[in-house]
Amino acid sequence: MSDQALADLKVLEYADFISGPFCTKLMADLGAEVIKIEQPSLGDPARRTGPFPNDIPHPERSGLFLYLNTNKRSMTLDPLTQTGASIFKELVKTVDILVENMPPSTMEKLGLDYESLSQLNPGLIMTSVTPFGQFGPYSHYKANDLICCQMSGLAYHTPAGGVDNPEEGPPLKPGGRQSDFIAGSTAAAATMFAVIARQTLGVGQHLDVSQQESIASFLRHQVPFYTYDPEGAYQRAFGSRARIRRGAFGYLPCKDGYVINGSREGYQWRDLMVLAAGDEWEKDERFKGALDGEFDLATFLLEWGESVRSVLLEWTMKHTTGEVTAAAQSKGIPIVPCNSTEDLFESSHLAEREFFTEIDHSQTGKLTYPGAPYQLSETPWRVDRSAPLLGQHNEEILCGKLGYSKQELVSMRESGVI
Amino acid sequence: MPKLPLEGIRVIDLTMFWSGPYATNLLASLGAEVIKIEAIQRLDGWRGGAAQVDVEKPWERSPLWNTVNTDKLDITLDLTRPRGAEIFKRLVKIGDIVAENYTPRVMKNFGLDYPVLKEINPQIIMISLPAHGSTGPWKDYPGFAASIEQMSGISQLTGYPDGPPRMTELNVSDPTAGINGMAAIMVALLCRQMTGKGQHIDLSQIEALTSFVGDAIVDYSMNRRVQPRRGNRHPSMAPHGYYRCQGDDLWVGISVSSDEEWQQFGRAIGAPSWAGEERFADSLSRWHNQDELDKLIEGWTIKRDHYEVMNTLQRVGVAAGAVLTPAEVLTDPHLKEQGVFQTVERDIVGVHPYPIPSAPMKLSESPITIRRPSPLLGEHNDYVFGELLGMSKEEIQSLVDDQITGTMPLGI
Repeated sequence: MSDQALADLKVLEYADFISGPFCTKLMADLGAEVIKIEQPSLGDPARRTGPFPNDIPHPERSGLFLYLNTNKRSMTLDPLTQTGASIFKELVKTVDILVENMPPSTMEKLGLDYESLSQLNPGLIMTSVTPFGQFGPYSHYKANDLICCQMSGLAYHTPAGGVDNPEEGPPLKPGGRQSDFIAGSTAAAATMFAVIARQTLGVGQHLDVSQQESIASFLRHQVPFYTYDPEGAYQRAFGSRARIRRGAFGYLPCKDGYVINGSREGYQWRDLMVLAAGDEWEKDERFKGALDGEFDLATFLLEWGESVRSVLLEWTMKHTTGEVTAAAQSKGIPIVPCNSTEDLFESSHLAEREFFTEIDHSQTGKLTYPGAPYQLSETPWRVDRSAPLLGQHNEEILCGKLGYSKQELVSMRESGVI
Repeated sequence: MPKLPLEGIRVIDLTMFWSGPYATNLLASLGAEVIKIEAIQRLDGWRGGAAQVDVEKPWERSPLWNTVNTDKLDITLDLTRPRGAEIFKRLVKIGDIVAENYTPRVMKNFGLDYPVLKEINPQIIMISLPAHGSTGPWKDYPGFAASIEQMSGISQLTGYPDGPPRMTELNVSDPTAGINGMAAIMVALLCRQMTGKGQHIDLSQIEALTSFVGDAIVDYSMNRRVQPRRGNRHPSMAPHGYYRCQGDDLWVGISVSSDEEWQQFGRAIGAPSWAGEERFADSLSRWHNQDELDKLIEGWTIKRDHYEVMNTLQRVGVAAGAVLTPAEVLTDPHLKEQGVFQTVERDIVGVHPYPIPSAPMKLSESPITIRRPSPLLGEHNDYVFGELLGMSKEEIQSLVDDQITGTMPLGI
């Protein structure tokens, strides 16, 4: 018996780009068998997104695709054709889970909606991931990571700590395509829950995961601020992006990058200033009375923040992030580096935790990928196979699994079904 | 009422603040019995979050805490005392899941780490959600609000192009760990059904976040390149960003991904002459000239309401969306129709809307609502000690006298 947690689960993926594929990757890497359906000839758009080695585009070498589709099998299929739709239904009969991220009503138009498919497979769990969900005024709106970040309220609150001039500093989208990944994580959690639920309830069900809601759900505590404190401080602090808490999120530039300073207590600031400027720092006229009496962070930063920062920078700019972090941590001061991807690569911490995994691929050679978002002590996460080539498993699935002949495969290819 | 799928699952919940409690909040809303353990010597730190002072029982008034602990039960227990630890072990014996997010040495110091709990109950599933994982050189670095995003690498990729790394106001690391925690627990429950054995889940909050920028890591592996901060811009698409609209600090996001979409965009905004210019005709040219392009677009949006811009552009198939303020999240027509918030009455704070924890996953067979508001401190002491563990009233009273349990924080 396999030592992988989801070795008995069979998943069909009819999804592209990030949200659907990340959801099924989280299952594939725990042992589930995932068949990924891709558009004939074109394949998943992630294949065209990159990054590419040396920036030369190639559909089998896209970093985004390779990362998101480890452990999966690829089959080309066009469900818009009659044969294609029929093969799709045959596959649905053999799986536990279908994950799709097509615009709402697409599956219905193809005759592949939950009502139809659950009649073929009553235990089917169908997870639909879309920007705004299956119903509601925006459900047919076009969206991507940028749009979802703002429609959930996330962008309004970034960057943390606000900006000096809201007119010149627009709301900020988190780097990369994080909202797409958040939707994928939510879909995976929901799907896993539905598998458990199937055991208790005895039936499958349809899961409607909305990306906007997934992120708005992350934002939950901002909303009660409004209703708990309708005319109070929190309205002002969180209702406006103009910088209120100056320097509260202290990025300190160093020789080779940035560190972040999380000091909140008077003694931490004292110890930090001693590190930066020696025991004599308090005798400096500028800091007279800075740490007298009961310490209040906001007042401290408002009155002495600028001077403190200039003293700290004189020290940090002469050292690397590693040196500053080590010195601070040795005194119990909460400072950590703002890691770049290079830092993560070189990190002895992540190496010890075996977070990265090296995967060989026929088109790219060996590349390093991030591993599991969590570790299970008995049933490990593992990447046994790299992302598939386009249609790599057509024969295995159509002939081996579904019993079509090789000649039938040829004619399917010619007519664009696969 | 249909049975909730996680009914019969009991969670012993030591988590605090947001990341762990978010995961257990999801479990509670899906039917699990979640017993949250605090101590009168040490309340969940999140209760101090944004609570008003100079009022009665400020620890019951935190909008943060009250939002993330709906559907749970609450007891108080001092685990530093042998009697407290003993009672905890009795709960583990009748529990299915133990959840905690301390730095790794804490459970060990209590004498309550996984090897000990496994002896008591081999079926127990324990999930730890420490900031940096249970092993490795960073494991004892304290995780603090503004550290995990930075350590994970995502901050480095976020920010205006000429500025330092930035982070999200809402600490995306916490709920990310929470949602992954829920998924991990489901997986462990599935395994347990097959093997009869529990296991330990080690969820490093950093690693959960780093997985969101996996393609940037592969880029480094391929090209030894650290991707730059781009603000709201896209590596190849333009226009792509947020534009100011009418009113005080209101914005709209617009993203055009093809030449066809660009044509539609031009028509929708009234076909100004600049929309037809050569230098904006194809995506590469638009990308190169996006500084100018952004100014021209903002000249149009600044005169209009942000919802109006969104609807006008979406009608012709252009991706656009209003940048919602917190007040607008509450009143947005789409979120309203999706039923994301539920009005709940709670002692001491009254009636407020709360987001339904499992709202982002609408399940056709398991409709979810908030069944009970966040508990009061120690509200379920009698139920848990008396009914679940069979203690007598005298026994419970002696625990109160010894300050191992109680309903009022010490030192207030």
